[in-house]
Amino acid sequence: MLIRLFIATLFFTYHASVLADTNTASLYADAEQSVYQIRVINKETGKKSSIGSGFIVSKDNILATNYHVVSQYVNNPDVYVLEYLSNTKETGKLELLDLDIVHDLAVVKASKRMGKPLEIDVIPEKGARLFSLGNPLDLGFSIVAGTNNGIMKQDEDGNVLFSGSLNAGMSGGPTLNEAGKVIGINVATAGNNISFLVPADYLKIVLKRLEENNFSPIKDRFSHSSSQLRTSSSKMLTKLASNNWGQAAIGRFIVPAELDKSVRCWDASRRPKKDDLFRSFYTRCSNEDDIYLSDHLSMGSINYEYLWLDSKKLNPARFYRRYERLNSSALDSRAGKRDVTNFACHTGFTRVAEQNFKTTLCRRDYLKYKHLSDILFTTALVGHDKKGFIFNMDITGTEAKAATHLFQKMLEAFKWRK
Amino acid sequence: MAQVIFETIIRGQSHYHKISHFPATIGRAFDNDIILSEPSVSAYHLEIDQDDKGYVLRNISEENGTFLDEKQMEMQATPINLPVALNLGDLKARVLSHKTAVEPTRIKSQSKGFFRLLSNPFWVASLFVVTLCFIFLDRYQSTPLEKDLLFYLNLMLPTLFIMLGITLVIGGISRLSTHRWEILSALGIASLFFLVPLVLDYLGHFFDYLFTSNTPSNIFSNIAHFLVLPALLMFYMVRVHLTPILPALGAAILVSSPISAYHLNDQIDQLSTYSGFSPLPPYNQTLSSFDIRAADSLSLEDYFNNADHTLEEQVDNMLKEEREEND
Repeated sequence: MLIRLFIATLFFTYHASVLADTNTASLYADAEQSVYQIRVINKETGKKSSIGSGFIVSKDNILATNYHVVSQYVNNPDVYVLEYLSNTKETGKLELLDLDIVHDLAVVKASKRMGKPLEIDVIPEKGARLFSLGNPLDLGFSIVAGTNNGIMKQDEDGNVLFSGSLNAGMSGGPTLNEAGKVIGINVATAGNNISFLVPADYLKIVLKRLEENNFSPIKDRFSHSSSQLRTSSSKMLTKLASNNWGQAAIGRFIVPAELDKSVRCWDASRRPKKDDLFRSFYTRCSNEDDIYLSDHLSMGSINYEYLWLDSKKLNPARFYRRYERLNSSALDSRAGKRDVTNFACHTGFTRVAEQNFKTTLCRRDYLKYKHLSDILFTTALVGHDKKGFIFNMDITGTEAKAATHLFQKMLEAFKWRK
Repeated sequence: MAQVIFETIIRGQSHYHKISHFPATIGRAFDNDIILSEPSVSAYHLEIDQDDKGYVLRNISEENGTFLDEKQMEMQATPINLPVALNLGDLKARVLSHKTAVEPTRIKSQSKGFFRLLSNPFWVASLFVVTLCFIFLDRYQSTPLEKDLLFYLNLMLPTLFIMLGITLVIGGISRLSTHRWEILSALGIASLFFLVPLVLDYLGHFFDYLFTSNTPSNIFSNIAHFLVLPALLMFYMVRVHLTPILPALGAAILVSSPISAYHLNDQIDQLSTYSGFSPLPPYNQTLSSFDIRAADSLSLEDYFNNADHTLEEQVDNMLKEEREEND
């Protein structure tokens, strides 16, 4: 998710407008001792590479923060160490206990007593006042007041929309209700008082799991995360496959529209030019969501697009020249050699909606995150002289079978309008 | 009566002078037996004489002198065994026996019709026109916009200029080596330089779609890059200059080597890209309005079963390789 990256970086312009309030002051005084700055330190230079916030949630030394705050350390434990900084400028080492990579949560442990754990509470009603704590831009501990605007329906993560001003460095800090209990964890901002919180319920699940394991740290971070990602992806794809999709018309085809409430479609048709000899229509749909894994890696995106092309005036050879140029699909991803394999592709011809299609399925697997693949699907109508139709779809960080099942289901829903 | 042949070689062309009276003098002065025009030759340069053992040479040039088999000759008479190679100043020469066998006659092609492709004006003109039409069609097909004729003609102009340029170069070389311009043949071969790769490109596309594979177009583009130019040059030399096949092949490879080297460089770049990591999915993207293909349309179920199975195998292999590399 793009907005999440805003908070992971420290180069964000700072416009804090903290509302003065007696209530706020007392809340801050109570919570102050429980909130820390979490920093990732390069072992060699001893300097911080990224910072965020964290707070005590259990015992007197278990802290919660965001996964993206500690991701550099998680991905390169040989290069970085984790540290905390208290508001009395005290520092110490932290140990990673558990992760919820899907909801961007991490739990860490300090080796000494840190203070009083904050209690977790349910999300209050829409419109309730909320108070967000953290250390914005490394400027010092702050409290930001705002309003709860409810759980976002559009977002599968079910993040809370917080109308307050979160800033870089506040990630991982707690958001409290008026009773001073944690209802969410600061995670992202889109600027202009649009901020997002991870509901504290997800943190509760992680803490419960840790309690059962006697707070022993997870062993294999990547396989731990892989299984979370697999579960999340298969949950998502199962939901998409069972949803009642709307229908959309493009050219002579009726195709599935938005697969889910979390999917948005946009028109991206080319603006016609005066001397065009063809018409083209283009729709792009996306779940507009990514699970952050590292500064160049994310998963969980679902994108698909429909493209219709037809012409009355072009001869078939000329039409197909144009059509063929549009028949190329690639994945918008920054994954590199150390993250994924090359793509393997299989091309063949298929019957869809009584028409012939040239169809390609491509797959590449993640190296560290086992049994997760990026799947790319593309199919182009053939056998019509002056009509072209292309359907491209890609899903990142998924199980291959689940993805192909969804593709097949979608294709089966295609209809040709006579 | 004994005779020797004195051969001079100027710009690759041999001239023969028969000597039947001895001693015979050679030089630039007009009272020599053999008069040479080469400026580095002395007025009286060399003398060829006969004694009871055979022939003798005597260098009489004090200026640039004479080299016999690359060794400078003294002023005294030197007996020789025919044939010998000489250098008179900058001039290359040989002294041969008059019994030396000559090379077999090159038989001019007697074939008619199609095989006179490069010499019959009708064929050359047709070839030129066909090539222009093909290029025009290609430019026309790739522009899906309403444009007037001049626009497409304009697109063709650069190719036309290059084609005429090549014709001039080939014609010029012919003029230098055979003293004939052979401009028609040169135009024919220049047309083929453009026509053949274009045809191969279309064939590659056709077969790619037919077999749902990128291999045919790769093969055809390699042919176009590495074989077409030397083959056409060789064809031209054999047909028009009547060069024997082997020397023609050598010259053709030599002349086309810079272009082959350029394509080879490209090829190596591509190979190293293929063997490394690529974020792009490699699949056959060709589409054809003819829709002539070897593969039948499968049901979705069958297609996905096949694809799942094949991809699983391929990706597993890649993961295995990756693991082996890391171990």
